[in-house]
Amino acid sequence: MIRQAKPTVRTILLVEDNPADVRLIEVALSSADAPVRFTVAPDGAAALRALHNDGEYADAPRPDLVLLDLNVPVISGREVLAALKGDDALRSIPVIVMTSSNAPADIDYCYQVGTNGYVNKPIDLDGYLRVVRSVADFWLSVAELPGVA
Amino acid sequence: MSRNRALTPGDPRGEQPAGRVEQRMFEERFRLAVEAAPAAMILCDPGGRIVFANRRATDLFGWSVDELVGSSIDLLVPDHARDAHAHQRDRYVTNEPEPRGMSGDRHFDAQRRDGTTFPAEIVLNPIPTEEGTLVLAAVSDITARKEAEREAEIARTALEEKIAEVTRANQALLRSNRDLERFAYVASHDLQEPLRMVSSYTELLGREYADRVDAKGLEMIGFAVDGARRMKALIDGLLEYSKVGRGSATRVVDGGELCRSAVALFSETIRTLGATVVVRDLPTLDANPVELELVFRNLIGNALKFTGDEPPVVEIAAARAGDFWCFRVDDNGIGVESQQSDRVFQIFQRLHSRGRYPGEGMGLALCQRIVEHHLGRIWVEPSELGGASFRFTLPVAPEGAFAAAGATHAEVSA
Repeated sequence: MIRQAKPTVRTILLVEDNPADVRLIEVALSSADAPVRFTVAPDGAAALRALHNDGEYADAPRPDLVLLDLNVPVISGREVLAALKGDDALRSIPVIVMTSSNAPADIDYCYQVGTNGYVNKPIDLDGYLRVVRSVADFWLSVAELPGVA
Repeated sequence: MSRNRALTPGDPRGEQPAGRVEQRMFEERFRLAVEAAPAAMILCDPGGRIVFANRRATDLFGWSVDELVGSSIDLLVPDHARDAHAHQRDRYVTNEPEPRGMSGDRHFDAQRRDGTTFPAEIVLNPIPTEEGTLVLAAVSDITARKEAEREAEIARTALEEKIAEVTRANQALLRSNRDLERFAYVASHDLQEPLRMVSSYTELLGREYADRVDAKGLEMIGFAVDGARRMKALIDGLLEYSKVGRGSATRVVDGGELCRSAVALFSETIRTLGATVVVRDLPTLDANPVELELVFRNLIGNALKFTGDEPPVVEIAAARAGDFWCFRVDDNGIGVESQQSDRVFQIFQRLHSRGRYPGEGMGLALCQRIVEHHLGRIWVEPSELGGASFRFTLPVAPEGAFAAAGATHAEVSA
């Protein structure tokens, strides 16, 4: 694993309506390779506002990674994904869909519209922590990320 | 016949009979021919007056020949039909009459002497004479035919109603089945989420607060984690159960191969228990391989689970019975009491304490659903080996399917 001498703080936009899941992800990433800061969007509309620095998200930094739950209220995760990947200014931001659905239709759709990854939320705690940590480690420490478009 | 008026049949080409003798002979032949006809025959003049009637006509209507001859044809027509009949008769005689039937799609009633009526089929033949066109009517009572038609119609309506009823019931059943499958599927999926929270946080609690919770508290947390784990197993089972028949279609599968791969999953258990598992010759089938493997896996797993004191012996075999293969999985284990033999297939039914034989009571219910989806059936009886003999039937693969199987084998060996 390539470690940077002075790890920069990375920002994750967490699109997740369940506070318990948000907490679990925070627990998982408390020991991640890169220091992480979270922006939490509890529904799809909030996610789009965060991406466009609208309203309460005026000062939100551009995320280095989006963790997207498909099953979120107001605007579905599918729509958020399609909007993000259809927007020239946002398309380069890596998105990992994290969901409890392993329906082939969902998986196919998400890759079709350009997700960078699709992972199932494991039901057991250790599995869950491991998956979240490995996603974050790869995208925030291993992978080279694009600059701001 | 003196009671019948003399006939003077004309010839279309205008030729007349030569003399009285010839005319007599002609009349006599006409009378004999009409008398011998299989239907009631009535001859009318252009004004609708009866000039001749045969014996069958008198039998049919109940009037004597004397009473009929000279009377209007209206005598034989029910009151309610008289006007319409007269109108039709006028049209028939004035419009170049042609031979024709009067029944067709028109219902025509005739009336007997006693006033009763009957449905009649009437065939009309025009006979040109010097006195104008006579009309010879052949009348048949078609009560029996009408009755038969009516009965056929009633039977047909009843049949159509029955078909509609069965179709409705079938559609309702399909809908209910679909709803049930969707319900089980969605419920299992949506239940996973909160369950994940319960299990994750109880585990997290036990982990992060281990130093601040006493042994009793940790035991309680352990029970909660275990409960969540069991619930997860139940939901997974329900999900699996609801998925039967929704997945991929059937294909030609080697029963022996499937069974041996299921046995291989238990190799560790088999070694530990010192068990003997024998797989006899099994046929090639048209089945869903994933589901069929699940059946073998569950039945073999049960045979290795519900063991007695002896080292376990399990035997899997199949025999042809008509259009079906009958499979059996025999063991020398604790067996299934006959009064429990239906209950074992019910979902979430367990016959033993969890401590002795762990499990969620899902396996045999799943087996039954899979076998029934393959149009077979499953049951249990005592085994010659001393334990249980689980039997299930699967349809013999259709002829064409085996050629495809041969091709597959050739590819595999190449």
